[in-house]
Amino acid sequence: MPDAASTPAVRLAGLRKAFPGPFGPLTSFVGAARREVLHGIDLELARGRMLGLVGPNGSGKTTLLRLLAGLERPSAGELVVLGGTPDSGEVRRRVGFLSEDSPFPPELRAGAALELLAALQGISRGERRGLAATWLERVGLAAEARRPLGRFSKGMLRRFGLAQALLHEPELVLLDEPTAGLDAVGVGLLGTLLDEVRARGGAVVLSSHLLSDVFDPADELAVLIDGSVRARGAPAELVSGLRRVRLELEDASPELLARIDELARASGAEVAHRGPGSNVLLELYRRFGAGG
Amino acid sequence: MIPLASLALRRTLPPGLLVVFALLALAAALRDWGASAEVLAALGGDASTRAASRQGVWLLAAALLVPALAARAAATIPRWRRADAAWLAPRRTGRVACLAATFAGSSVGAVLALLLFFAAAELAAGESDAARRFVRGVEHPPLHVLDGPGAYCELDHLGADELAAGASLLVRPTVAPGRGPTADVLLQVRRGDAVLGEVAALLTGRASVEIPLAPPAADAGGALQLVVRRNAPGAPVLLPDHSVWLLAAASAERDGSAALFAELLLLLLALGAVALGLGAWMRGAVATLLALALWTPTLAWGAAGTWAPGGRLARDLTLLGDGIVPPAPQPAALAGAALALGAGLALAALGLRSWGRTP
Repeated sequence: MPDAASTPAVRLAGLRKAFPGPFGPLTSFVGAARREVLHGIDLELARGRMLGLVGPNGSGKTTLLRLLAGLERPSAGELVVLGGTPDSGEVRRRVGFLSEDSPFPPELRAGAALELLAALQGISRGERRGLAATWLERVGLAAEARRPLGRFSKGMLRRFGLAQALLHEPELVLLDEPTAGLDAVGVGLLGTLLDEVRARGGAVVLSSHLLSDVFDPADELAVLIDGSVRARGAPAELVSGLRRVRLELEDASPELLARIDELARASGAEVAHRGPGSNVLLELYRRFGAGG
Repeated sequence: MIPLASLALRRTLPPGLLVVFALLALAAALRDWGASAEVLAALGGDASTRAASRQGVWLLAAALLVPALAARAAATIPRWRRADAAWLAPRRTGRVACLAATFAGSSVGAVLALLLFFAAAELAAGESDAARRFVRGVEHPPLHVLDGPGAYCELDHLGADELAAGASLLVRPTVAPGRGPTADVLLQVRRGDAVLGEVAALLTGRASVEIPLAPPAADAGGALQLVVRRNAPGAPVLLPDHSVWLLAAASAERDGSAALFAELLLLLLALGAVALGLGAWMRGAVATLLALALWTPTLAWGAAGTWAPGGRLARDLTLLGDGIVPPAPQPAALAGAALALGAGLALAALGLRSWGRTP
């Protein structure tokens, strides 16, 4: 029997998922009018690795993450998460999940909600309060512990979502569009937290419809289009054949930029877009006194 | 699982709804329950006024709480699927434990809401004197006394109850217009040759006559017999079916509110569980309507009799209005509630095999 550390965090083979058609489960029961959104996904993710799932809207990223989190059942194929089925309590205890829309109980205060979520993970009563306070502090919400979640902004809810997904130190973290609504400080925080997960041997699956969200942090990328994995590999490998690239420069003077323009033109290429680099906003915030 | 139960309690009885219930209960407690209460007071004194007040408050409680709490229960699983599954499902705690904790929290909500109306009913009544408790109704065909002096009818299968101190028989005859508006009768309860109690009464319209029965020391055993004998010419006297009740002494009128509390609690738990279960298979609003429709024959006509929780609610509200303490829920009603509860929770667990909308 393989030991836990050697088994992959995720193994999918021929995974399919179909939803009932517009006439509901009756027609689905006889096999008619079902809408298949995942068509035989094969995927494996080792522990300590991070997989970036990219694809356009409606490509099946959210459905795949919901299957991995045990929110949906596959219609066919093999789905193994941390050596078991995502539906079992033993696996759920070791998985952290942040859904796309952060629907946490709006009537609860942040501190109480985090304690409730810790309780549902089986964390003892003695540990819950301290753990909740620590994680609210980590995601920059310590001052909001007594505010009801219904009064949180979208970005604050995403930060809260990160805290609830990570507070029990899961072996597999599933994040659906985690950067949606996050400010630059929050995006930086997300990167730090995911580095910590990988450093302790945890695996991460992170979905986004923006390549820039996953290109740097992910060890590998899977491109999901119309419910099928069309390409998979290291980010640099996947884009190596592509002739449109983004180049970020530090301390770029106007003279240097002009010379790059000239060089590009001379080589038959063109500078299609010029704008601020990816971390400029974060630098601006820091310059004007924002924490984090 | 206490935190999840607390969340369920908060969702069953959110602060806004609790305030609305409290205000309605207070309004019901302070309300003068109308001319009927005044008429009752004129006829039967303060006890009748108190009975009408208790009946009014508990009627309001039933009308408010039954649909409101059924709707809350039915909305639970659709809400889980729509929103909560994203944080509830990936946790270590399984579906059945989540269901059990949620149902426990909702049940505490039902208890709190009922306590609110219990307090309102007693505030409305003001005092609580000694009272009589309903023991059972006597099944009998309609009887009548039509002819002149000396005519009588007998009801000879009242049963062989052990009569406790303070026992009485309540007879509710109707006088039909005939030879005059009244009927002069003697109502007598016998056991063998022994007369356990008798009352002479001049009846008019729809009357209630209570016949106090002798204490058990004088009780010779055997079946009770009721004789209604005409003393003088007068109007025909009818004894419609279900018009003879056996009563016993109760320590306080407040016991009536306690009995209604227990009856409504059983109903809310059973109906809530069934609504919760149906909600796992259909939309919340449809599940609420279906659960209420399933219970309508029981609530309106007492269908399924003593087995169905709430089957005696209409009768018990009538008893309460008559100043009689309804009986505590019978073992059959407890068994029926347990059955409905188990069926509802099983239906919910089966329907929730997958947290997603599409199992």
